[in-house]
Amino acid sequence: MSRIQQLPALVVNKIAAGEVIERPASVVKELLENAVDAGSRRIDVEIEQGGSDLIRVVDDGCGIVAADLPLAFASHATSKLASADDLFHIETMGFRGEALASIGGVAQVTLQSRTRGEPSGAAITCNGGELSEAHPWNGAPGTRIEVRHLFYNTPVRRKFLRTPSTEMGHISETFTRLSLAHTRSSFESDVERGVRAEGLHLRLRHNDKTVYDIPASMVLLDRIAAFFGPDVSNQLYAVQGFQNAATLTGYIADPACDRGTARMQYLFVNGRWVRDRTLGHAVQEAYRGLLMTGRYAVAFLFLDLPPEEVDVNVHPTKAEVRFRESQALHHLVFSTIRQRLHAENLTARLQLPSTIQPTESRGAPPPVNLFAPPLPLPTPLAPFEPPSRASEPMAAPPAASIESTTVPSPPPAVSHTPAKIIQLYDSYLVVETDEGMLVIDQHALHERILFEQIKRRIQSGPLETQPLLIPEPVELTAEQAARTLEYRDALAELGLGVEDFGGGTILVTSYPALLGRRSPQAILRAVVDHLISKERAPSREVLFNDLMSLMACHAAVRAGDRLTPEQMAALVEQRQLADDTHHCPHGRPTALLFSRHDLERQFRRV
Amino acid sequence: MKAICDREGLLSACQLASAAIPARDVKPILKNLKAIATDGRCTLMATDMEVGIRLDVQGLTIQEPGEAIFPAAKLLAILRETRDDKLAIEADPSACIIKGPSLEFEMPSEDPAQFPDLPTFAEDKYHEITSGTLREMIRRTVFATADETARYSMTGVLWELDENVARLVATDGRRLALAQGTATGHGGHTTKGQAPVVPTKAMSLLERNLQDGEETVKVCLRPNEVLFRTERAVVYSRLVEGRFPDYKQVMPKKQGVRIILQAIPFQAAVRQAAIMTDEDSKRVVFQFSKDNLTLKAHGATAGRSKVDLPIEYDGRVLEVSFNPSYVVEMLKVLPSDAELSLDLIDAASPALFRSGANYSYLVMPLT
Repeated sequence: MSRIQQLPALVVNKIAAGEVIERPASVVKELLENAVDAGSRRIDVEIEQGGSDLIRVVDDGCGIVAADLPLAFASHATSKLASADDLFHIETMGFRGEALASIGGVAQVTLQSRTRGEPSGAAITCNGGELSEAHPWNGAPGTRIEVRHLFYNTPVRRKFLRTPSTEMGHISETFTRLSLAHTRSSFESDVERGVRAEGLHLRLRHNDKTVYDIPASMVLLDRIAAFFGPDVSNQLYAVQGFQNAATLTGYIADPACDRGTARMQYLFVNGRWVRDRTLGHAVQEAYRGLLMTGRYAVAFLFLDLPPEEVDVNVHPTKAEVRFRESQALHHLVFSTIRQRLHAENLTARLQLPSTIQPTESRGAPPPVNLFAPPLPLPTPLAPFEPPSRASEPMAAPPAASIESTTVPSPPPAVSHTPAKIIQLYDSYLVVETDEGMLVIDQHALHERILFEQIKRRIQSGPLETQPLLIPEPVELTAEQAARTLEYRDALAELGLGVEDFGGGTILVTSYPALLGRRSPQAILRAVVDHLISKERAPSREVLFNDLMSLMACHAAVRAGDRLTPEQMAALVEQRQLADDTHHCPHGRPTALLFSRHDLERQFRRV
Repeated sequence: MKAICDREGLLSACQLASAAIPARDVKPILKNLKAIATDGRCTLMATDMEVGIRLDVQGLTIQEPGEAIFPAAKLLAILRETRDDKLAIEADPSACIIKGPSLEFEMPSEDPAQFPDLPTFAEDKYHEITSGTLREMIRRTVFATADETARYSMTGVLWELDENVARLVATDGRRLALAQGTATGHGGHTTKGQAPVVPTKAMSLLERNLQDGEETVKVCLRPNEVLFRTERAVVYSRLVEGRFPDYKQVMPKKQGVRIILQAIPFQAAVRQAAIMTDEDSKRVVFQFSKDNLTLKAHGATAGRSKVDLPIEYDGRVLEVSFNPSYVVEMLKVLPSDAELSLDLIDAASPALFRSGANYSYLVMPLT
């Protein structure tokens, strides 16, 4: 008797469903995408009990002709693709023809549809893969799908469903992604190019209560406000970048608006939400030095590129894609965000305790009011105005015998009256500025200033190396030793010479002279810790950065050091000279601004 | 105890002894000095448990023998601030009183038995070195020891005692100083097979108690500790644990070019050039050409410097960079009329300075 047999379609669909349909949110995703592909302008989603009882998606799209209805539930049956070549120019959300077949295999589905041209539509039901006859249906043009009792015939799956509120959370997330992806772009240039020129009217209801109602006219920023609250939307900066045929638009959040996970980094490629490690990395890299370790930036990025540049057929739920030129895109994302961040004054705002804030309570975003005026565009903080200075240096020009071009010019003299500075707890400086009261963390600021000085020095010439007369043995674990030796050449470039001594012991033969006050062993250990903690090989630049922040941290004034008025003035003065004084090299803020306005409001003067 | 003391004499003794007092508050009683007055003799003691000193106080008339504990900082302040030649001291475990004709101080005291005891010198195996020689050897090496952040075994000075010679070696891994001098062994005392390292603090403490004269100092090295006996003091110290690097291995075996330098002008030139180095990245380039040494520095923020020094040199043109502090620190401990030689192989090999037959100093150049 033959043992190998062709599986019946019913079984095949259940197997496929395992991949595509994980939970109610997957059903919502597939149905929403179908509705989008059908050219809908409005989609209503209704959920009951987190989707395990009912998922209903109603759209006003093109509809399905009655004759096609039975085919809709057949696997690999689709209207979105005709030949294999089309796979490489996919412009629709779906294309495999799997979704309905999979859903139909594990739920009780009613599909009702009517095309615009026909006087009446038709309906069909599919119970666990068993199709009924099509029968006439009298409804508005569009498609209406009801999915009831998901996983009713796969008890194990059903058992694995979480509470309705958890499942609803996943559905909301799916809804959010789709809603952000199909919004009218707030960039005129996008609209002109026909990219995201029209928004979708989307509505999500759960157990007969409206969760979101997003009108078509609502622009991206307002949608972000609707989904994530004004806390996020008020701290966004618009970004836009171009590279060849690729366009990057969207919003990035101020570093102060950071999160503990990367989930708030939304990336949409050609209108499709995806995860991408490379581009996620680019976002984090762009924020390097502005965020503390373990914190993630918030970003909403839309990448548009020709369909042939990206392969979406790599993941069962299309959550991942492959780019033809992923490095170029990494660069596009990185440089666009980096430039934008550099343009901002990123002084952290002092957070007032919420109890004394008379504005609305934080927490869940308020339900969106359809007729509310659009939220104001984020008002970026006014650029920090450096105090005026005399333009002429005070010191005499250097002696003629010495090449004057390479001699650093003395710092410009300061003409304005010195700012009022006081030191608190030997750790913080309080400075009066035009904008308000600035509280500076003296260590963090000095560290940042030194960091930049060291960086400039390194860029200006070769790094001095102090070789050791007596190499210093450092005992490491075998893994650490191997990792260290792997980076031997890169470390040597930084002046850190290492040699294998056998058995997990590494000999340090030289170290960067700049780090002279630290023992070679401490330098190596700091580097090793860094090498080990990284999943991927740190680039030379990253290593460099780390070493430099090590140097800066070591040399900077510490919290607890009492400063003389001259030292305080000098520190505050240098603040204006550094490129990015808003965060120390580890990403902690160096200063907090307590704005004059806030002060006046607290005292009820305004 | 009860005694009449000569203020100046007690002050200098207290200053010498208080160098052994720990900088940190480890054990409160160690912030004190202990005095032991016996018939006609008074000894001061101070220790941080690692290093300790017993010191004879001169010019003291003992009226009532006994032991006493004095708060070191306060006692020193009193001795420094008062102007009377003679002061009366009276102490018991509860209080100590210092009286002058027109003043009186009373301080709380403690039980003298609580103060850790220090060994006396009662050895028959030891080396003898003249005080002046030992003092010079210590001064020429102790500056090159590593600080606490570095490798522990290098935070002191290595002692090598052969039958007729004493060798002191100190290094921080970048430079190494080696001084030697005549010493006489008694009772077969030797350091063969051991590498005793005496902590920097003990070496400095000993140095302060040495005069330049011909007085002899006795040294006794035991497996974990060392005792020094001068005429007035006994310095005790535990040894630094850990293996001191094998210094003979780093001594250059090749002979390179030799340059003769005069300490005074050479030191002046290096210090002048070093003005234009940056605070945390010091580098001075030494260019040797015929009869001339050019020193150059270029600090990223400081500026540039160029200093020429005529020397007697007829070898090939050589360029080598040093951290100027490493050179200056060595020159500072040489007598001002000293002549020194510099042996160079190339820009990346250790450079060897020598002064006379008894002093070598090895520095690793910057690359």
